[in-house]
Amino acid sequence: MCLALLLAGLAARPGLLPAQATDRPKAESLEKEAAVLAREGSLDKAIEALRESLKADPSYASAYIQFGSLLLRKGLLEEAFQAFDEALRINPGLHSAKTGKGMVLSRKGDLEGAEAVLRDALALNPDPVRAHYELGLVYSKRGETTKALAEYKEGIKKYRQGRK
Amino acid sequence: MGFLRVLLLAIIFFMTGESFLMVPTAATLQGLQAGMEAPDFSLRDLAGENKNFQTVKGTKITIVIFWSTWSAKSEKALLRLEKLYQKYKDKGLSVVAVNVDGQEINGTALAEIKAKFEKMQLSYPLLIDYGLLAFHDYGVIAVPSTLVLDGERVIQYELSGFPLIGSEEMADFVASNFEEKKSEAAPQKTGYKPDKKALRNYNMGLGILKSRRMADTAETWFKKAIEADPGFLMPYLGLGKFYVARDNIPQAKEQFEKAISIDSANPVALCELAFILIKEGRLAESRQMLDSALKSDESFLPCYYYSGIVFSKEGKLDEALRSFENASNINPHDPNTYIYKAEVFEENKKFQEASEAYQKALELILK
Repeated sequence: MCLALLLAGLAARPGLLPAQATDRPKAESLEKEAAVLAREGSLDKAIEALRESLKADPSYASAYIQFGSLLLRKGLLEEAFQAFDEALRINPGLHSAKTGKGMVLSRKGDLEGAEAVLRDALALNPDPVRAHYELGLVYSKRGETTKALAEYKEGIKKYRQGRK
Repeated sequence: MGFLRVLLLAIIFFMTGESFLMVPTAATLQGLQAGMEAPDFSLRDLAGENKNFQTVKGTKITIVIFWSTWSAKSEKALLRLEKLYQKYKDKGLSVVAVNVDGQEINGTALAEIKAKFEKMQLSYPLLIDYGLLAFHDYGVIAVPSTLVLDGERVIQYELSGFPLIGSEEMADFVASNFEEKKSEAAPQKTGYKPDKKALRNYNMGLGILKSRRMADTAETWFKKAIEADPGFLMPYLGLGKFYVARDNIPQAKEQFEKAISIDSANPVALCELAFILIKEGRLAESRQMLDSALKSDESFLPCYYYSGIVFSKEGKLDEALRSFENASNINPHDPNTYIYKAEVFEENKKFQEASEAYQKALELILK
């Protein structure tokens, strides 16, 4: 799995591997297929579909984010972190990839690191609900109930404003 | 026959202590009511094949039931539908059970759903709502919820939960489609037939509400719907909720009051107005309205969480928590139950519990 990710990452880096033709429509279609599979609880198949998606287009940041999210759900923290990192390398402004990195750090027990990354993910984020939720979790784990409460409430407030 | 049924139900009521319900009024779905077209669906059956309405519909009518293994009343409802199905399947009745157990159904969960369905020996098809897409598209409020659709997917009858009288009325309504028998179903359940232009405008309003940029223009569409058909209740509710979301309480109140003037037992209007009264500190009036709404529809979820708020303000925290528990039993997918529960905990200075309830609400939102 690490090798596949590494290769996908390398393939996305100009100059590191010979340039290859990308097939964005195929990558998008496989990403959609992965979303359906994940909904049906077939995580391994969904991950496989995303691998294929990234083979079809190694510069497809959105697939890296979904890939990272599924790896995170499987508990494969290092690989998930790499996937989010790769998405950010392609597009440094991706809030969901930053949130993903914060989630990984939180699950690894690096609560200070997670807090910093999630705070960064909140800046100018049009869809901040998950980042607020994850920050709330970080504070809950640290036993800081007041701060956790504030983050959860902020997340709900944003959701009620129609944000995600 | 009608008299005998009422007499029988009255006897059951006195013997079992079960609440004797008023004729339920329509509040099965958020945004949809009898007389309106239901959305199509694309759901997988147990063999993994995709099915939409066209592939499962009956030649005359189709019953779609949203059910779950965690809802106690689902089993009764499914078994009642099996009887109807056996009786009328050759005359054009189709029944489809849509399982809404959860957002994600893995292999183990699927096996449990299948086992439960098979144990009941149901012979109509079972579809799985992975991701709860149909559940949200239809705006299901309570589980189970049953809809009778015609061949054009227009809702002919709606039933929220599985109330004693309502379920038999629905059976009567179904039978009336196949036998020389007049249905005694309440007009609210079989639907007010709104003016087509009003319906179109109302649907535009609903659709636009989902758009971030255009949501503010929904007001105009709801107003146009009312202008085209002042007797059509749904746009008043849409407009009322629109104003609530924008903190325009006087306008919201006016809309809910207009809705109540059309249907005095409408649970949506009663509960939403009650919620406004709670905010104004008029607890006794809101309690009265919530009680009326619950008598009208025992499965209308918001009534339970608004009741919880009233109980809390009356200093009855245990009763408040019971109300929230009732709400989550009816529909555990609704984050509002946990949001209001959290607010109640906060009000009672139980910050740890509040934090946990908010966390749960967000988990549901983010699923």
